[in-house]
Amino acid sequence: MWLFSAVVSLLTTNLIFTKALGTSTLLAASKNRSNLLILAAVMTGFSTVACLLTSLLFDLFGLTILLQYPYSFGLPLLYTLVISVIYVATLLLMFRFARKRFANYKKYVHLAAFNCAVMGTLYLAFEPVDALKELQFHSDAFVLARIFSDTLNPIGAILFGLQAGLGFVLASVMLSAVRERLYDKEVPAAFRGFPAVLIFIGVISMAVYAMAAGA
Amino acid sequence: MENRRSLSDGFLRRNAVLSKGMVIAPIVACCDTLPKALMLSLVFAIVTILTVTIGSFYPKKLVYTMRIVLYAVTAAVIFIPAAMLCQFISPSVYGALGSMSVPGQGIVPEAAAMYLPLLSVNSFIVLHSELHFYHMRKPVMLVSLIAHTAGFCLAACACAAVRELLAHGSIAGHVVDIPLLMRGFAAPWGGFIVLGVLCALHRVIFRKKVD
Repeated sequence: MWLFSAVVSLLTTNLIFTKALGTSTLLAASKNRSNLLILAAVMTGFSTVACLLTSLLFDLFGLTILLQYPYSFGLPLLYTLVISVIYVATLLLMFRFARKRFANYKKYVHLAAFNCAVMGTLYLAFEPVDALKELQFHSDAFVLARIFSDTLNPIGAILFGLQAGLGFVLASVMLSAVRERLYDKEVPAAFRGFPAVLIFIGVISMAVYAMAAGA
Repeated sequence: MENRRSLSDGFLRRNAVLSKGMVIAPIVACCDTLPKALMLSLVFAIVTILTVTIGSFYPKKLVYTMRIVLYAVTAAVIFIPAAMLCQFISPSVYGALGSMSVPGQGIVPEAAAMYLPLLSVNSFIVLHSELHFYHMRKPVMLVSLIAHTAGFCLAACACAAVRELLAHGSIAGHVVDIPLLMRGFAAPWGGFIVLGVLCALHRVIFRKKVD
């Protein structure tokens, strides 16, 4: 029963089905099944580490001011810098410890780093506050991972990043299961391939919305 | 001749959204009315055109990874004045689309709150620039870049117009008398379906061969 609940939870909070985050990346990788799963795994790692690193930055360096208006305009810069650090560190570590596989796997790191899914996860995890709302919350200015915690907490950040990444994995598994049918010659030529993938994601998304409304 | 081909390719024939599925998330998630689509297009145009143009001057001696990081950082910096400009032009549309913190507007729906900043990591900047734009001569690159950006605007506005009509019974706020409203089309699933149909239509119109 808990497994069912976990899957339902991953579906109803899925960033692709509920917020369309990472759809372009999913489409780019959907031409090859193994691509899709490896990319999903790398993105899970990226979103988890990015959430952890950002929570530490907010906590240790008092950067919560960036979550308040008008400083929130600078959030993309902070998040880009965080992702850049992880991106460069990942490539360096791969080059140092897995040099033989570096050539094959670096493309996944390039694809997984700068995209809407990872950046969007950070925006959802550390939600900027309204200028009026901020007056009430003071230092508890941001709402971290409504599901897990409402305070700044590295474990909550890791769980949020992990959940977002696993949602991407789930979407990838669902897409890879039907990928061959969506690219099949029986599908009308105009819809074959990526238009069919979009409509497929739309139908799943509709079902997820209905399920979330029911829940 | 080269410029004319770049224009028509980027705008229509090889429209990045409709033929390649690039930069889909903001269109699917928040382009449910025409004003929102226009605002999104404006920010996209400012951030993308300036970033890719500035990025073309970065030395090619830098390793690929560092160049990508520089493009993303440049885009994030350019986003700041672009977002401020849009907030100045229309605070209400901006608030509904991309700001989390417009004073006096109340709590902005969180699903729409982040899509504008996400444009700073769009695939034109972090992927297409290296694969496509920087292989061209600068004048041709600029024409192609403007055409691709206009193509994005076209796709966003087309998707938004259809969704606004189906979900709200209006186009750009002007009420249109249609017999049935399907409010769900304002949700992301409506965006996926409408965009999927538009992509298929694009294929039919341009008789594009399918792999």
